[in-house]
Amino acid sequence: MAFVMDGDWVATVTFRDRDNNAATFQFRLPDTLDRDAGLASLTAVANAAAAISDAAVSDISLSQSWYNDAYNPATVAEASDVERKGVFQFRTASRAISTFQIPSILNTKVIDGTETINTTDAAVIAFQGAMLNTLLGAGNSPVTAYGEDYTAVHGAPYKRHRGSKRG
Amino acid sequence: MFDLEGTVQAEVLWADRDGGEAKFTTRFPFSLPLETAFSNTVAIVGLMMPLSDAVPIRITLRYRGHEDDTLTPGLDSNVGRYLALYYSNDVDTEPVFIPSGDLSLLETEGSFAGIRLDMGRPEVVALADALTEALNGTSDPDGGEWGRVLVVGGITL
Repeated sequence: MAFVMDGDWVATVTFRDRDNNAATFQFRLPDTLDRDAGLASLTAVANAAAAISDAAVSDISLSQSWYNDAYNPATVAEASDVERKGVFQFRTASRAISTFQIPSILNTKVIDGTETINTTDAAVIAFQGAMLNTLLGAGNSPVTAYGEDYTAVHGAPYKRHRGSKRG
Repeated sequence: MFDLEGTVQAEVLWADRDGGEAKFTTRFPFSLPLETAFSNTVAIVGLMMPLSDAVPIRITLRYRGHEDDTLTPGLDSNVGRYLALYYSNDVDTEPVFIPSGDLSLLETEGSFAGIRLDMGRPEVVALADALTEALNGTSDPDGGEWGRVLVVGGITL
């Protein structure tokens, strides 16, 4: 399995009208642009677009995607169900807490007779280590929206069922 | 001006056997190069896979910015109304839709008055220039590169 880059950057500009309804305007940018050049180009277009609209530009985004070249729906495990979540929480030094949900958590990772995920399982330990600033190395692990590192696991992870897009 | 977020949002879309999809979202520091943010995401995905029997089908890295001034939309603004701009490279045409186009930019004389974009207005020329530059080098669905020019624009719903 490999993740293959889609190609062009996708640039999105969000407008809001007087009633706070939102609409987007989307276009693509060449993948030959690096991130900073792409953001500069997006900003230039967003500002020019704002000049011909009487709505206000509120947000911009620039994204790049990669697809799994080996994905075949027919070979996905029959028992898989993305509504079966493994819920993990982590906190920062300032005690900000974030929640992450692993879709289709394996039931074999859940302690029998409970909804609690087995935190002595090697795969669970490895995932938690990657989310904290340990396994991937300082500066490489996930951060909060404010850029803070996660420093500790918060509470015991557990399984729950929750609706998802297209169930 | 836009305030860029200090992080890049990493989204991983997972699929189950029934075609159900769910997204796992995390963030990395903005300071990481795109390639590093991508490889770190792949590393996280690699550690999630032994915990899940669903399949990761797509990774998206998203950089976001927000307008830092409080702007007041016009009294008549309505994002259900669009200005459609058509770009062409003589082979194909691609529409670009701008929400709540300023109606004062439409032609005021002739049979297309109030419908067609006045291509001579400086604001329109500036957007056309910015978009033409931005769209140049983008790929068509077959992966070929093309350049485009703005050919016409008008109001639509």
